[in-house]
Amino acid sequence: MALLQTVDLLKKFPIRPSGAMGRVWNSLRGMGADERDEAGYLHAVDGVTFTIEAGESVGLVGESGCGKSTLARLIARLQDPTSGAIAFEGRNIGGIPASRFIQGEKRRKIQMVFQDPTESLNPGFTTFRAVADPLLRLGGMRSGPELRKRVEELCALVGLAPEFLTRYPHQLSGGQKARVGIARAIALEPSLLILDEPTSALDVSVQAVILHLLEDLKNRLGMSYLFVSHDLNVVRLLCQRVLVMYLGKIVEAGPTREILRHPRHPYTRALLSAIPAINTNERTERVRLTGEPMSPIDPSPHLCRFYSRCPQREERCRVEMPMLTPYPGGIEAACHFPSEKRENIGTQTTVS
Amino acid sequence: MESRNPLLAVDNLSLEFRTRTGVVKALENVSFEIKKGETVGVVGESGSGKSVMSYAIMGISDPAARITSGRIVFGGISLFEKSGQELQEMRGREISMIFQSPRTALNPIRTIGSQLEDVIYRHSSFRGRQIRGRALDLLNQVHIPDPEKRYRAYPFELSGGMCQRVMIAIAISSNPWLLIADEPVTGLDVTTQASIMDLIKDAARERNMGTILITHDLGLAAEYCDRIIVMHSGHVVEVADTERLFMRPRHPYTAKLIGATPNASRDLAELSSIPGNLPDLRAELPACRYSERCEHLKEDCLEPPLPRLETEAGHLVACRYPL
Repeated sequence: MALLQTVDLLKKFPIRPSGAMGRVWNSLRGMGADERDEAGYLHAVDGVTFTIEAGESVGLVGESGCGKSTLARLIARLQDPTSGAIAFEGRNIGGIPASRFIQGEKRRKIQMVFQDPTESLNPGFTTFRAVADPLLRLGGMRSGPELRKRVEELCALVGLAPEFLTRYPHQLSGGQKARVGIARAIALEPSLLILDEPTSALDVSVQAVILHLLEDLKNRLGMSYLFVSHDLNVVRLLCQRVLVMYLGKIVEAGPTREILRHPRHPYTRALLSAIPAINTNERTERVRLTGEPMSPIDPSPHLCRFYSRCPQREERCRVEMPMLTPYPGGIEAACHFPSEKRENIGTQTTVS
Repeated sequence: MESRNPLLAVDNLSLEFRTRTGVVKALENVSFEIKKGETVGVVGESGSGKSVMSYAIMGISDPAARITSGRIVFGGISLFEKSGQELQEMRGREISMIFQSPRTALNPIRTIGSQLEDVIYRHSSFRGRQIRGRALDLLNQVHIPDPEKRYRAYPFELSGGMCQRVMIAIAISSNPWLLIADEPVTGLDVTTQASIMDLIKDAARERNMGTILITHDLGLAAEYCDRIIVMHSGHVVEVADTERLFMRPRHPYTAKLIGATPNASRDLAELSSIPGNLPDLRAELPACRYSERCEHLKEDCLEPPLPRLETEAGHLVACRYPL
């Protein structure tokens, strides 16, 4: 049984304002005060189905605005899905309202590390308090020597020296703040850790340290990761499988190695070819994207989401939405005209 | 002859900030040159002095900053000898700058058209109707779809990539000789990054414009720059042609930076990290500011002066024992 499985997960945000403003909005459009029209929804996550096995790391990549952060927040149960199911350890937690989920026993099992360590730490909390907070709220611990011992243990685990326990976020470097964010997320020994761009605000030197730490923690604590990132070269290092998202939909999924070697979807190809490389032989022919992304507001159910920018679009892509189809190597891709061409990334030896 | 008259020469520049907690030695004896039409990357961790240096070239340093030595020569004339008026004339006309977050660099309550018009009015002889024509022409040049419509748009109505295109249009409107791009694509998606960088590269080629690309992304620098300057806590530690720098880095810091950058073939186990942190620039520092983090440290590394070896023509290393 998979640790986590989502089925047809959907999240729509109404663009119609709520309350009094909504009534004004309606009257301007000649509608009754409380009438709800179906039109006017932003489809952030649109029918997403995937699984994460116990102990597995899954990468989630895509450009800003594609819905990857919303998907992460739905799974972390910080937001309620519009429809669809989230099965976690055999129970559907998708239907439990986020406000009630906080008190449930599964809350401690799914934890999250947020993107910007500076923004996500409470500036008024010392390191000790930040790490102790989840233990006090959900871990059933009380203040005392035991709590102190546990916090010190956690800080040692993420490589924070005891002297940092009394420091406030502004007295810590970016890398140290990232460690605090990780320490408080693993405090309750979750089985699923969601990492939302955990290293994108860090310098490469610090990024390398944090990536090593995450790999080490995963092996030691046996957690599963959902690793949200826009950098495929980073995802590659930690994740066995990767999901590529475009405008609310998963357009390609499969083993990381296979996707890097043989991407089928034109968006994945463009994404891969756009990564700047130091070694000239790692550079692939640039797939240039022209045009602009389509609006995520009430998209057509028939039109391929990538149509407006696709270099190989055809008439069929306008009338029939492509579905995820299996290919050899465990890849699934949603394209009528998947690429046959293999990339030679990583197969050539690098010049040193 | 070209090399004898570089477009920009920064010579022995030192700059410090006087703060309440001490004097921060942000730049020390920084020297380099930019030739016409050349794209030079400046790389290094945050806090290495990349941005401080570009602000010094623009003459827009913080009031707490004080230049303690050196000079900046642009087009044969020392910038420190120019009056405030002359500098103002030069900024935006001869040297332009693109900033990291286009949305904060643009005025949020004015249309992009009017912001573009201001710059054209200030720096060209176009007047009246011509200004609008020129503005639309520039929006076309930076590949903004439907420029007539976007002309009336406010920055919040455009995506980050589009806003950066507008910034580029503003920066190149006066056909400057030198463009300083300070992390121009950080925070943008990789696909957008590539198209923005292509745009900057094309604009530079068409105008034979010198470009300084400040970035922390070595891959980006490798792909778009002719030459690279590596900075570490206020020092220039290595300067070389792009290919040579990545093929054979001579400074231990450069080698570490390259080793810490994820690429398409390196495994996690092969990804090295750089031990230690940037030193506190308020303290008394040894000649080599990297010494504390260096794995090849020898006794005399701490003694001044900081060496500046030319290992090969055009390949400079600030290390007594280059790799």
